[in-house]
Amino acid sequence: MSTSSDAKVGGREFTSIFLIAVGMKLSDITTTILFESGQTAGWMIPLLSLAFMLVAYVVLISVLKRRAGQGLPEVVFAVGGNFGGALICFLLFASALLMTSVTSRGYVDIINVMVYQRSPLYALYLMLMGAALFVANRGFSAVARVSWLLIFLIEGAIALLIAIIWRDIDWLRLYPWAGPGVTRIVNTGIMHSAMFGEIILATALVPQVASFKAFRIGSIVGFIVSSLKISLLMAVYTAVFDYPEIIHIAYPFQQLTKNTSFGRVFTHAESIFIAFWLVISVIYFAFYIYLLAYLFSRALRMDQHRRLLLPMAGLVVFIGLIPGNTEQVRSYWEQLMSYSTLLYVALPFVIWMLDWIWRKRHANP
Amino acid sequence: MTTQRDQKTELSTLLAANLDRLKRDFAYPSNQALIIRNLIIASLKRDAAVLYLEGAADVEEVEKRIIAPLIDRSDIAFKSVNPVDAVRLEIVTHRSGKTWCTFEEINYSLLNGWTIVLLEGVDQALAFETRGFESRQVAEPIVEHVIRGPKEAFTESAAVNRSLVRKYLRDRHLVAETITIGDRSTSEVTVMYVKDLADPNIVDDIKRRIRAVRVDAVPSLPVLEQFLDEHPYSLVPNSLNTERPDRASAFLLEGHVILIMDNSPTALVMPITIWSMLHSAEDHYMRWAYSNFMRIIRLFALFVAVMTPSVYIAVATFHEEMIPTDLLLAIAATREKVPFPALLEVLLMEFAFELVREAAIRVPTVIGPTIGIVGALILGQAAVEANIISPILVVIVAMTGISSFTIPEPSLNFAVRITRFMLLFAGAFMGFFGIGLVIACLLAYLTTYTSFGVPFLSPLTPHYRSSADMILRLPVQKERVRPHNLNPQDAVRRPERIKQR
Repeated sequence: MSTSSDAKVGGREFTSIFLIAVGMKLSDITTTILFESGQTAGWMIPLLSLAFMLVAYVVLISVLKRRAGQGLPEVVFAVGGNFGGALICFLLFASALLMTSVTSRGYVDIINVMVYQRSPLYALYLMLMGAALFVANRGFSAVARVSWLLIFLIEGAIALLIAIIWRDIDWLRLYPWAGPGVTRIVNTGIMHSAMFGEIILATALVPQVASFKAFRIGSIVGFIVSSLKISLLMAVYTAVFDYPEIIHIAYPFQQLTKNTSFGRVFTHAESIFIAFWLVISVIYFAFYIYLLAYLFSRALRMDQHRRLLLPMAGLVVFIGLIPGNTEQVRSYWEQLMSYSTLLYVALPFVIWMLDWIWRKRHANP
Repeated sequence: MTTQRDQKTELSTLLAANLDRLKRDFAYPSNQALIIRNLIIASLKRDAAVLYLEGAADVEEVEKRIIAPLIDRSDIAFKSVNPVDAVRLEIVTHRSGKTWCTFEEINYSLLNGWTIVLLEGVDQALAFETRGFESRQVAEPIVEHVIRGPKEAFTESAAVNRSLVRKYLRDRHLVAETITIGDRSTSEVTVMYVKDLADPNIVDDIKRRIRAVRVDAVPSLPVLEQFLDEHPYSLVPNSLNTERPDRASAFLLEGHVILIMDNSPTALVMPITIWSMLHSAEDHYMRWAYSNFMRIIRLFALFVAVMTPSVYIAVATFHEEMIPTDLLLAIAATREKVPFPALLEVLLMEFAFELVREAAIRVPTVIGPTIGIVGALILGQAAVEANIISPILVVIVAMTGISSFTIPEPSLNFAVRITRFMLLFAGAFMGFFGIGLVIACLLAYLTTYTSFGVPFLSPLTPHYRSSADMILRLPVQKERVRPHNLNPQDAVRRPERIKQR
């Protein structure tokens, strides 16, 4: 019976985590940044990134499949030796840490700008991360179980949002469909593949999932469905707000919720969406804090990752408070994206090669 | 309790010595409860003594089944050579009969209402079960009453309760194990489970926990419940009290374990999930649509009971734009005269409501209705007229209060009421932001909270196979499997319909 709080996570729960961890990007600064370079074709970028990242993912999975029950860090240490393993783990950790910091800062900015203009930024940040820390401290299974509990509500809420906004949609606004030109779109799509970096990072958690099959199905379903969802929502943003207005809207998702109304009586339902979105953000960052602590503990090859949760949450807040304003957050995000794309895309191939060499050496001693 | 002098525990062959010792043990001349009836067994021509405790034993049964046969003068030859066997097997007509060799056993039996027969020249004692503790009749349930379904409730007698459970669940695999606890005043806990259903790990865990309870006395189940609690500081209950034998047997059939004790008119069910606390006994007696309607209402009531005051505070303080304009103006007009901030208003009113509720429980039944009148009139009407609170708040607090009454389980009811205050402060402090954060934490807590190893929100999350008897339920024909979160040994309730060709 898998009952203790550190018990393994089942397939459904893991799929839901993935749907949240990847799907949350439809509501944060990711979409805004993609619109800048993608213009009316912004909605295609997630699909292109998806295709690109899938290749890397398949390569990585082919290695992991051969090593049953091992997660990314274990595999990296096995094929890359102590030094190589620690180096790769630290690189991954650093990229995940910076990404989490910048993303979470983006979330706090959204909360600050959209709802709580008079509250100090750091207070909001501390509260959000405090809650995420509490959830992460209840274990990976807590994150997974809450995700599974909420996932249908989340997808339902998105469907409801689209249904409410349907009258304002004009699909013709998606033309010209190629936006700034096919080459540029493909280019941006590839360069922003790191926005799906979770799919590489999450392979660290293979040992926490009930079976490898559950992991594979969960990650692939979560990955594909989420990117389709992001793409759809980006198309809706464009169709509602039109280009070029869309690039001047800082937070299209929140803006969209502001336009919602249930009939003539309840004209402002955005706070409900925002509250719900907040609950999910807490789960989202709890997942990241857990992942960070896990990666760090594995990089140092220690078994206790629970005690690292507090320092990790603290680090995220400290780094997240560095950017002075939202514009800086965006430019950091862009830079980070291009560097980590390199890391996430190259890594599977590097690991595959190392594994290949390792197998050669062990096959013919 | 034995004194220094009475270290020796075996009986002697002298009747007088044995009696002396027992008199000392029960402080005889001053303690009038020990009844000693000296007699001569005519057919054996032997001195004997019959002992029982007044109030514990059924005197009539002792007279009729034990004393009367013993002094009967009919002369017959006995088959047994041993006088103890002769008395036990051939003279006394009582249904039970055991042979004890130590004073500990005798003392324990006497305290539990047994009758002891001592014979001259024999170092053994005979014990007959003649329990006659006073107990009330099987009555109607007070807390868990239903419109449709059986109307029997447990009483304070464990024997009656066990027989009630067995009446509802006639299964030869229904096991009733007895564990004795308490160092000074001993009491028996009966652990009941269906042997080929319940997960042996859970059963063993519960039995181990019961045996580990070391205390002078455990008077009744609610105290035992707290001794067995895995998370004594948690708001969330760890086991469930039910006063309905039908409900207890339904739990047994799902693979739960129930505990029964003397002096407790309930059965303790463990392990539990949130669903067992939200469901009412009636849910399965009503047709599918009706019971689901009730469940939806109750679920809605749960949310109202937990969230309404905090949402009101959050909306009134941080998110005014959510309220329809006309209503907003109306609220603003009534709130204009109230000098307090919204939070204080809500707290005042909630406090008043909790007062009324607590008073209604403590007050003697005769003056009960007064509380309602005073509570409703003074706290509702007058407080509004005195401009202490606004009318909208009376509506909100009343809604919340009524909603919290629909939660069938008293423990969960408390948990909900306390959680409401947590959310209230979060909402007053940070609006929906605060409520969102607290809810995320609450959900994370609930999903990882376990009762005897079973996750509290299972089989919903983490997902296990089950008949989906959670928020809603399926028609009875479709409830085919037992919930797998309890790891039942026999997973299937009803075999799949055999397809006919």
